[in-house]
Amino acid sequence: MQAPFQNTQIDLDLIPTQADISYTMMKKSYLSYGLFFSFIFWLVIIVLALVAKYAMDIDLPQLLDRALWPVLIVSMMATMAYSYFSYFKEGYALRDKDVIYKEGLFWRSTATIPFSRIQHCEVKEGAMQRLFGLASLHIYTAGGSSSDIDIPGLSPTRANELKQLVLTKINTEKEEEIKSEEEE
Amino acid sequence: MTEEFSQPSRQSIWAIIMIIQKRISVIFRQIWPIIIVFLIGGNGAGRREYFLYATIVIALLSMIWSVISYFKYYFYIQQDELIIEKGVLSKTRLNIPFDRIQSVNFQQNIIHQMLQIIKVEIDTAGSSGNEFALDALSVAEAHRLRDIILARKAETEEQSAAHDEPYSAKVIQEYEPEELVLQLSVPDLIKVGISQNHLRSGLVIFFAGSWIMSQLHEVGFDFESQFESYFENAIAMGLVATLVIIVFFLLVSFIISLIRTVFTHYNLQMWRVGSKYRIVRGLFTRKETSAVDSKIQIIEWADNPLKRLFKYYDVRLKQASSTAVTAKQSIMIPGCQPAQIDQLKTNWLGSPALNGLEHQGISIHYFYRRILYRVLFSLLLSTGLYISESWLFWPSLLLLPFYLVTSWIAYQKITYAINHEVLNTTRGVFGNWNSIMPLYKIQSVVLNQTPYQLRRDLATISVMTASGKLKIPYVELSLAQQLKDYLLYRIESDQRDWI
Repeated sequence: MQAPFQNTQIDLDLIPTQADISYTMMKKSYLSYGLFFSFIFWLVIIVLALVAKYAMDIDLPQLLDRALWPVLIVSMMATMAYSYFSYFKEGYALRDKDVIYKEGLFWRSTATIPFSRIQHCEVKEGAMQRLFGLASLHIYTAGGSSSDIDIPGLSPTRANELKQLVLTKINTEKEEEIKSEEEE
Repeated sequence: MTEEFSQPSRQSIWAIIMIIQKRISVIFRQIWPIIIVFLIGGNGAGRREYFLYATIVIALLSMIWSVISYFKYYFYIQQDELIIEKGVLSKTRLNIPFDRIQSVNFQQNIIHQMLQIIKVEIDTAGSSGNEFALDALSVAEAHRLRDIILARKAETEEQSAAHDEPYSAKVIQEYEPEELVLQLSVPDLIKVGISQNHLRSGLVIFFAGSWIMSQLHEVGFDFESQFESYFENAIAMGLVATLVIIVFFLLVSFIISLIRTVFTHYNLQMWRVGSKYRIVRGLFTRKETSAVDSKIQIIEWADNPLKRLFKYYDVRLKQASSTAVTAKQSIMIPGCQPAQIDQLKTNWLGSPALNGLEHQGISIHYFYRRILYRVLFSLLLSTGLYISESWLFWPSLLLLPFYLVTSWIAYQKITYAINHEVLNTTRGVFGNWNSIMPLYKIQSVVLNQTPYQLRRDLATISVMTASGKLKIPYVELSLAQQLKDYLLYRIESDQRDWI
């Protein structure tokens, strides 16, 4: 049954490369979503600090008291700037055989999952995401969640289209597999 | 033969004992601090009777429950599924399709051995907690059940026409020759036990001890006051006493890990049957596990300085699992000699696949990045200790050379080798870790860049599998991209089934 061992040389220049892939960016409202949440997060902290200072009369050492407000405001702006700029670094792309998702402004990562290795996928819409008209596509692989990917910031219709596409891809991969085996 | 088990049948009658034992140990684990307090008589005498009655009632109820649940527990084979029906008040029916079953493992603790029964564990791929166990079958029945499941599983897999390669599970037949790959004698085991990581087992003992303390403390047992006075004395006794305590502690963990090793791996035998391994081991609890070639995702072998002395490695066969890498799915075989590892690799991958593996180093920036914060930390620490005139200042000076040397070794030991078929990575500081896997078992490829790497055009490649990941850190970005493209090309152009 074992096929004779073959070891034909592969022309490394002919291997499809990811270098010239153009990524689709996340939906515009995903940017507002990110900005909104970094704003809300720091707003809550600032409000808590105000409550602590004025309503509960907690005294801070003078130096800390003076530095506190600038630090809070700057952190808020930094976080918002970070989520603004990282929006432009995030994107996804589909090729004939795989899904690619990249993210990160300072810590960059690009994950590629071949369709043949996808177990199933799922569209997720959180309550907050729905407010912004967003959905995410979660792609599952076998054996734990370490190699799963989650593509956020999609419109619900786009997420469902992608899901359908991925599912059809998975099935055609399987059919091809069976066909190639029959040929043998 | 397949007619067998087609009717709903119960487990061996001894299963009642196993169920009761299981239930009692569960209850005991929850209430043992109370029992201890009760025995010692910590809280007022009025409650003692109450405890006694409560214990008797709980014991009786759980015993009755166990007996009923035994009589309500059926298993049988229908079409291509193993079906388990159980439940006293609410009924549950579990259908386990054969092609979902990853492996069928046997386990015998000392009671099982006395009663001549076997606990059968059935592992499935998929979400965690999806393991099923038949508590007690007679030895003959257990073997027949396993043979049937494995044979039928292979049949269904063949029908679905998804296997044509040499890796696929062949129909396991009883007459298939068994070849002994590895056997550990008692001297071997003692060597294995001696070369365990004693610091780790010391930590385990330490944490277990403090957990027991906290449990006892919760039910109102006061150790601390006793210990405080003890420790005050110890400090008064000075350095010598501390050293004695440390040596004693190491000695205890040494003995415990030695005993544990001998117990768990006693008379370990690893058999090659067709395209799978069958591994039997254990003194009081005899365990039989099996690993099919096609289910193994990564083979890992590692040593440490002591193991290097004895010239052997610990081997891990990592199988596809639901929760990353649970201990269960990663089968550890201690005491493998290099020749045996070579045999494992060749059995799994075929010798042509192992040709032309040339190990490449990584960028020197890995070393720079690794020492950067360590050097800063050690300098700050030493300065702080110098200012505070602590006697720890002189020992702290050793930290800097220690970090430099270990980082350099770590950098030197990280290598990777890729050919048309396999990926092989190495790493380690004191020990040597090796991982090998065929490229077609990769599930996804992730390319990461930290800010430090971004500035220097470097990247780290993570290769994800159904059983953990392999990393190639700090390679040139352009090379990393090429490697990623190549790996993806290899996965996508390969039709073999990977889990």
